[in-house]
Amino acid sequence: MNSLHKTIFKDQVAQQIWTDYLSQVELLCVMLNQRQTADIQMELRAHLLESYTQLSSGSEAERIQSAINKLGQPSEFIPLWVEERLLEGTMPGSGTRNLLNLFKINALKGVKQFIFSMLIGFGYLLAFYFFLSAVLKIFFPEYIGVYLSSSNILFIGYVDSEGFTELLGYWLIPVGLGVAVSLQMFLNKILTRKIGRH
Amino acid sequence: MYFMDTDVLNDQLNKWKLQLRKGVLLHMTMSLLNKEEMYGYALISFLSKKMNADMAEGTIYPLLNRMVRDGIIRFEWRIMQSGPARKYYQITPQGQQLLKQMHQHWQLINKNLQVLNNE
Repeated sequence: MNSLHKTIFKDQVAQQIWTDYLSQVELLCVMLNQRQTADIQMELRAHLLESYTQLSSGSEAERIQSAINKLGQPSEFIPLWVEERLLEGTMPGSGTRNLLNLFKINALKGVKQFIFSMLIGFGYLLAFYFFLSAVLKIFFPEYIGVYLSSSNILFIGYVDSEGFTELLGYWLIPVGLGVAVSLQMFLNKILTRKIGRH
Repeated sequence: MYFMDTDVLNDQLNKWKLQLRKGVLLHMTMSLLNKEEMYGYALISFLSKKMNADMAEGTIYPLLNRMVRDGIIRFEWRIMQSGPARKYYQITPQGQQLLKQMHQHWQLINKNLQVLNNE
C-alpha cells in the first residue's frame, strides 16, 4: 500500500472510500514519474483532509464522501492535470523526452489523435531511416544507396545483388542527412504546435 | 414581438455565466494570489464564494499547474505544525505584470459596456 493511503480513519468504510479515491488518482497518474504522482497525491490529500475537517456533522464515511463529492471524481480533472504535468518544461525543440510526452498526450486523446500520433511516429522512423542510410553509406558504400530496380521501383537501403542501378552515389550522405533533419524539424514543429492549443 | 421562453432564457443565461466564469477564473485567481499567497483548498473555497458558483473543486488544480508552467505563479511546500503539508502558491513578477494588463483590459471592457448601455 502506498504510504499516502495509510490508515487515518477509525471507520473502515471511510478508510475504504479514502483508499479507493487515492488509488484511482494513482492509476490516472500512471504516465507521470513517482515525484510528480506523489506531488499530486499530497496536494489532493491535504485538500480532502481540510475539506473533511470543515464538515462537522455526519459519520466519518459521510464526511469524507462529501469532501470527495465537492472535489470531484478523479476522472473529471486528473487527466487534465496529468496533461499539464507532462507539458512541464516542454518547449519547441527541447528534447526527445518532452517530444515523447507530447506524443503520449496526443495518443491518449481519442482515435483521431491516436492515428495522428501514429503518423507522426512513422514520420520520425522515416527520418531515422534516412539518417541511418546516410551514415551507413560512409561505411558500406557498395551496398547502401538509392537504387532503381529493373522493374522501375525506387528504394533506399541495402542491396547486394545485380540488376539494380544506383542513382545518387555519395550524394546520399548530404541528401539523406538533409532530409532526416528537415523531416525531424517539421515533425517537431507539428507536435509542439499542440502546446499552444492547451 | 417575439417572447423568449423562460427556460430558453435561463439556459442562455447559464451558458453565458459559465463562459464568463471560465474567462474570469484566471483573472480572479491571480488577483487573489496578488493579495496573499494561498494553498489550493483556501483558494478554491474563496473563489467559489466570490463567484457564487458550485465548481468542482478539483478543476482549479490543472489551472494552477498551467499557471506555474507559464511562470506567472510559483509554489512552495510547507510543513504545517498540525495536519498535512500544504502547497502554497504565490504570484511572480511576470504574473504581476500580466495581472496589471488584465486589469487594464477589464476596465476598458467595463467602460465600453457602460458607454454602450448609456447610449
